[in-house]
Amino acid sequence: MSPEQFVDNLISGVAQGSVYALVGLGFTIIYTVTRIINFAQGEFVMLGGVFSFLLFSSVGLPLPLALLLAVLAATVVGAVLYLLAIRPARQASVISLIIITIGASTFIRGVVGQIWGKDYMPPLPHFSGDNQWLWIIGITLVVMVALHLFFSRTMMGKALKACSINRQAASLVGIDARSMAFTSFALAAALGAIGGAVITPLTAPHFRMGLTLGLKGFVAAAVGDFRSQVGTVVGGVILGIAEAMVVVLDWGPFASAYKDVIAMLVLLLVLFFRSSRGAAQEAAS
Amino acid sequence: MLRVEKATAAYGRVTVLREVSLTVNDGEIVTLIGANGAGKTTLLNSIVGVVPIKSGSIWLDDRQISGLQPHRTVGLGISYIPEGRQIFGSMSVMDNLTLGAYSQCSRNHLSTLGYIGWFLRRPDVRSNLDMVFNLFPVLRERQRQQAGSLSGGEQQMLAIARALMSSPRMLLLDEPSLGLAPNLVKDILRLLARLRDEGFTILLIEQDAAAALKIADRGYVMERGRIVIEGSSRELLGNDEVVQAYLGKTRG
Repeated sequence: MSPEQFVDNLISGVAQGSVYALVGLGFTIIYTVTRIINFAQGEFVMLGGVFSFLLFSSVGLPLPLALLLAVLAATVVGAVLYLLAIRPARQASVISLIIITIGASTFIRGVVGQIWGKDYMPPLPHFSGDNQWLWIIGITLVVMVALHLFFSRTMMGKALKACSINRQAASLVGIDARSMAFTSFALAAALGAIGGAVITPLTAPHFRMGLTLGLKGFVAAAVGDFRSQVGTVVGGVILGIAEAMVVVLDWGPFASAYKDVIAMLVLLLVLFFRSSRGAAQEAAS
Repeated sequence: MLRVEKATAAYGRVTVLREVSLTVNDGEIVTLIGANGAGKTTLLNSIVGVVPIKSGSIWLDDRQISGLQPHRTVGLGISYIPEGRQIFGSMSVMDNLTLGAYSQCSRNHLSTLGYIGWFLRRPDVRSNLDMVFNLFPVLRERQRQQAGSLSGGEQQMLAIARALMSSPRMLLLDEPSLGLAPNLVKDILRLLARLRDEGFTILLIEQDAAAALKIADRGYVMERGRIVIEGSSRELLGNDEVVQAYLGKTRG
């Protein structure tokens, strides 16, 4: 592999990984605030992609506007998902709520497949020239800075954090746990949809695209223990780079056809180290 | 100011409050005395709405507050400092204080999206912050430090300071001296007396009943979910039953 090729692959890996990171942050934010693992996270990614295509190609909006509206629409879906499916099940256990998100994910996928068809849609044009990877990395960076400012410079961000540290103490200073849960679903949907929107020039939007991207975001979040946003971003980027390297290597057990297996491998490693560390902590205490 | 009328509460089938009635007047310190499991903490939890009552009613001035959720009662001027302090350990001291004022800015959910610096510059928030920094100068020094790294006494100060940030009229405290050295316990109680003199109304649960009665105006004794004795601090300190059951050991 020539150095140029290596750098190209590194960049595409980081870009792909940024998308995983965005999706993973959605998992992390919902989990820390509500303790729910939201299996519909991948569908927000799909909605971001599919809505972008529809608004651009079918409605004919200019590309930036189409992307923005697509993300907003997916955010509304995330908020509505919370209001219609999670909030009414107030007394349910966390496990039941997780199962509800699995149901919601199947439902959203089914509705999109029914209305807009089960075929691959043509990819969107690149945002400019032939450097979509750089656009993805740039947009992800902007989103992360915005997210950081949100959590450190606004009352709502701090309230979300407080809720994830100690929900009862948060309620005693006046923070409504349910409105925080609502916010976390909307925010997670927005992050996932941004991931879906920026990747559509490179992968054809499709009603099932949320499955793989959701899984990879899940792995990124698992690296961050579903708690650490930094860990989630690192996990996503590492996964993206590892996949890109497998594609270039394309050798023996690392054949490029096995690209998607890398995510499972990372997940297994995380689970292995987590559980052995957990066992060590138990033995120590 | 606060009136509890025949409140009954239960965890599942276990009744923990049986027709409890209690009044706290403006500017008073009232203390609850009783053994562990007598229902003191549950009573405070019921007042703020953490544990809903099954019958009876709770009034703040002329407004019925039973049935309200905890995040609503804070906005009405009742601030609860639960047992074990419950500060946000992985956040800074300043963040804890800022969040204490959350109820001041949350009327409109979207307004909480504003830059926090503007919020902290609001005159009412600013004056609360000055007040708690004057009460607890150590918190001003440590404002950037992680709350979880403070000593036990400092964490208790932070818990009280955070509660004061919501501009409350009334404070509910559950065992503020738990796990503190004896001289710190005295400091905390002295502080509560000072807050009363500045116009705050206080309902206090305190393990050291004798020390609590010394600063309190009135007291209630709870046993198995009921109020069994009530009276002024002087009456309770002179009541043989109370002295034997709750003050005996601490009198030495």
